[in-house]
Amino acid sequence: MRRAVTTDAWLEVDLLGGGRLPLGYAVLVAGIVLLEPAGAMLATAAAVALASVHPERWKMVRTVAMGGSLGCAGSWAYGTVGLSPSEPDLAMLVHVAVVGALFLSADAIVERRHLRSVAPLYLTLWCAATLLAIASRQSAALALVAAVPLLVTKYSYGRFADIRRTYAQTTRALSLLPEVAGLTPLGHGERTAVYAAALANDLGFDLHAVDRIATAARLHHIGHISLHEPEVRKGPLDGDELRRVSGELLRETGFLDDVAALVEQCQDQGPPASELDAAAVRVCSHLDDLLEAGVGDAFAALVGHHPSGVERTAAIALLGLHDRYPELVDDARAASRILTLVAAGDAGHGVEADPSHDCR
Amino acid sequence: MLAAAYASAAIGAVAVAVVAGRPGDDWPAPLTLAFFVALILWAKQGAVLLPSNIDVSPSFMVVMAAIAAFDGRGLVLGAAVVGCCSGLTLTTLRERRIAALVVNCSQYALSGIGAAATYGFAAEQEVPTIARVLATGIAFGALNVGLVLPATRVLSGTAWRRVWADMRPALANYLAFGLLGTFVGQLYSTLGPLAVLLLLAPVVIARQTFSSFLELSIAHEATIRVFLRAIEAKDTYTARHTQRVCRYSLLMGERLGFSHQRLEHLRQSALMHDIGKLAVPKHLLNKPGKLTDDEFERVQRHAHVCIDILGLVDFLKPMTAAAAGHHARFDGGGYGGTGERPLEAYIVAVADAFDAMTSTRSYRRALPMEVAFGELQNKSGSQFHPECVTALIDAITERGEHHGMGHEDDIVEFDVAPPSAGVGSAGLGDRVLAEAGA
Repeated sequence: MRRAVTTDAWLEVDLLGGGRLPLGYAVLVAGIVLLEPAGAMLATAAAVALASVHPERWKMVRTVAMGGSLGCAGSWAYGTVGLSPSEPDLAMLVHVAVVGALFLSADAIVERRHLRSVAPLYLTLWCAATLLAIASRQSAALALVAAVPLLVTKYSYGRFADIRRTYAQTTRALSLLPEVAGLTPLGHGERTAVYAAALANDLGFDLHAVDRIATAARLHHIGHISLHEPEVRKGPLDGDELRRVSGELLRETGFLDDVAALVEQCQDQGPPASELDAAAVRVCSHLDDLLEAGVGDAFAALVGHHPSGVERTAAIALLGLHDRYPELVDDARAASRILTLVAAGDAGHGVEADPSHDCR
Repeated sequence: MLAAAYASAAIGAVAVAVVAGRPGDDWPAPLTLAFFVALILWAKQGAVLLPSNIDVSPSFMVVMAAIAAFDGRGLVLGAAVVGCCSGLTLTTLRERRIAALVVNCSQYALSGIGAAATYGFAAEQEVPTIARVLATGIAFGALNVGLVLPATRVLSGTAWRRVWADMRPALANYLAFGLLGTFVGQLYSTLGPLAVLLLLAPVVIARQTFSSFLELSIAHEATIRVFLRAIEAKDTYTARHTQRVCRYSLLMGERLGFSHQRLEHLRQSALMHDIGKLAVPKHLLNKPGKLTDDEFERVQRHAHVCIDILGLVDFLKPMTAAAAGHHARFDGGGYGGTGERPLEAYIVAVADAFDAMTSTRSYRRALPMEVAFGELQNKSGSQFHPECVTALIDAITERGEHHGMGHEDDIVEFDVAPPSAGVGSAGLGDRVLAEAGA
C-alpha cells in the first residue's frame, strides 16, 4: 500500500537500462516556474518531504533537493535578468526550459542516468511541464487535461515493463529445462546470458539489441530438449545438429527469427559467424565451459581458443571487460546461483549434470 | 454498385455542407493549413492499432487542434480539408479501394465541418472552453459514428452492434484527447507549430513504447509456442492434454465472466502448466503400470523441479500449487502462506483433473464423462473449487459435448493394454497411481 502511494504518486516508470524515473518531476518543475521564489522553495520542501517516504529515499531526496534548489535559483535568475520574451506563452516555454534543464541535469548526475535510455522521457517530462505550466495559468481543469500525456506515458511504459519482465522470466524458465534434465550444466544459459549482455553493452549495442542477445544466449542450448533423452544418448551430440535443431525450434514459431539466426550461428564448429553479436554468444558460452572445467585463467585461455576472426574480437573485448570489471564472473555466478538453487531443490536432491553429456 | 451510390451521395453531402456551413467563409492562412495537412497525413500513416481501452488517437487530436487553430479565419473550409485528409491511408490507397477511400474522406470531411460549425457557434455564444470542446467533440463523434456505422455496414457487412461495441470503450479517451487537442490548437496562435510538437512528442514516444510492448507480446507468445513444440516432440499425449486443458480452462473462464486480458493470462498459464514434464525422462512419462520406488522418486524430484521452474515466472506462480498435485486442494489452505490463491489455479486444476480422467493414459483407460463429472462433484468443495466445477459441467453440457470413454479425440496405442480402473486426477499420472497404490 505504502509503496503504491509513494511510487504511483510520483508516476514512476521503469527505464530500459534499469532504474526508474518519476514523471511527477514535471509537476514540481511547473510548480517552481509558476510560483514566486518563496512559494517555489516551499514546493521544493514539500516535494523533499514526499520523497523522504519513498522506498529509495536517499537518492530521491538528493535529486529533489538538489534539482529543486537549482531550479528555484534558475527561476529567480531568469526573472531578474529580464530577457524573457514579451509573448506570455513563449516566455513560459523558455522559463520551463531553463528550470527543467537545471532540474533534469541534477537528476542525471545524482542517478547517473544512462542518457540513451532516458532522453525520450526527459523530452516527455519537459513537454508535459510546459503544457502544465501554461494550462495552470488559465484554469485548474485545463491543468488536469494537460497531465494526460504524462498518464499515457506512464501507462505505456508500465505495460512495456510488465511484458519485458514476463518475457525474461519465461525464457529463463525455458532455458532451465535442458539443465534440469541433466543435458547441460545447471545455470549455463543464465551465466552465458550475463556475460553476453555485459559484452554486448560494452561493444555499444543499443538496449534492444542487448536484450535480444541476452535472450539468444539464454536459449542457445534449447535444442537439447527435443534432441535426446539423457538415458539413450551414447556420445556427445553433433554441434551442427544441435545448432540446427535449436534454431529450427525457435524459427518455426515464426516470430523469433532474429534470435533463431543468432542461435544457429552461436554453437561451436559452426560456419564462421558474420555477425559480432552471434560471436558474442558463442564466445560467452565457451567462456562458461572453461570456467566450468576449472581452467585457471579462463579469460586469457578464451583468446587462445579463438585465434582469428570475429570471435577473436569478441574474446578480446570480453578479456578487456574482465580486466575492468573483475566481478563479472561473480555477477554471473550470483545470477545463476539463485536459479540453480530453485531448480535443484535442496542440495540432497540436486540434479547433477554428467560432464560426458556436456557438448555444446 | 451500392458502394458507388453511397460514395457519390457522400461527395454531394460534403459539397452541400461546405456551402451551407458558413456563408462567406474565408480560406485559412496557407502556411497554417499546410502545416495541419502535413501533420494529419503523418499522424494517420504512423497509426498503431492499440487495444481499445487506451486508444491514443493522434489524428482526432490533430483535427481538434486544427479547428481551434483555424478559429477566426477559414474555420469551416480548413476543417473540411484537414478532415478529408484524415480519411487517407496508405493501405486503402495501395489496395485501390476507391469507394472506401471516397466514403472515408467525405465522412471525415463532414464530421470536420459539423464540428467546426459547432465550435464557431459556441465561440460566438461565448461558451466556456470546456463546454465548447465538449460540444465540438460530441458533434464530431456523433457525425463520425452516425456516418461510419452505415458505411461499415454497406462496405464490409459488419453487424451494427459489433461496430458500436468496438467504439464505445474509446469514448472517454476521445474526450480527453479532444480537450488536449483544442488546448494545443489555441496555443498555436501564440507559439506556432512548437505548440503542437509539445503535445505530439510525448504521445509519439508513448506510442513507440506501446508498439515495442506489442512486439514483445508477440515474442512472448512465440516463446510459449517453443515450449509447446518441444513438448510435442517429446510426448504427443502431453501436448494434446495441454491443449485440451487450455480449452476447458477457457470455457470455465468465459463462464465465470473473465475479462479479455484475464482470459489471455489464463490461456498462457494453462498452456505452460505442464512445463516440468519436459524435464521428466520419456520412458517414465509413458510407463505402463506401476513405477518402481526409484523411478517414483525420480519423478517426484522432477515434479519438484517443475514447481520451482513455474515459480520463476510471475504469471505462472499460481500454477505451482496445481503442479504440486495434492497441494492444489481447494480446502488445502492458502497458497504459499500469502492469502488466497487466484481462481486461475483452481480452474487449471479442475481442467487438468477432468482431462486426466476422460483420456486414456498408459496406466488407465479413459473413464465415461458422467463418471468424471460425478468425481468432480464428489470432491467439489474439498479438492476442487465448487464454482469452477459447476462452470465446467455447465459449459460442457450446454454445448452438448461428449468426452471420455468412446469419445476420445486421440486413441493412443500402447504395447501393454492399460487397465480400466482407478480415478487418477492430476497432471503427472505416474505419481497419482503410485500415491493411490501407497
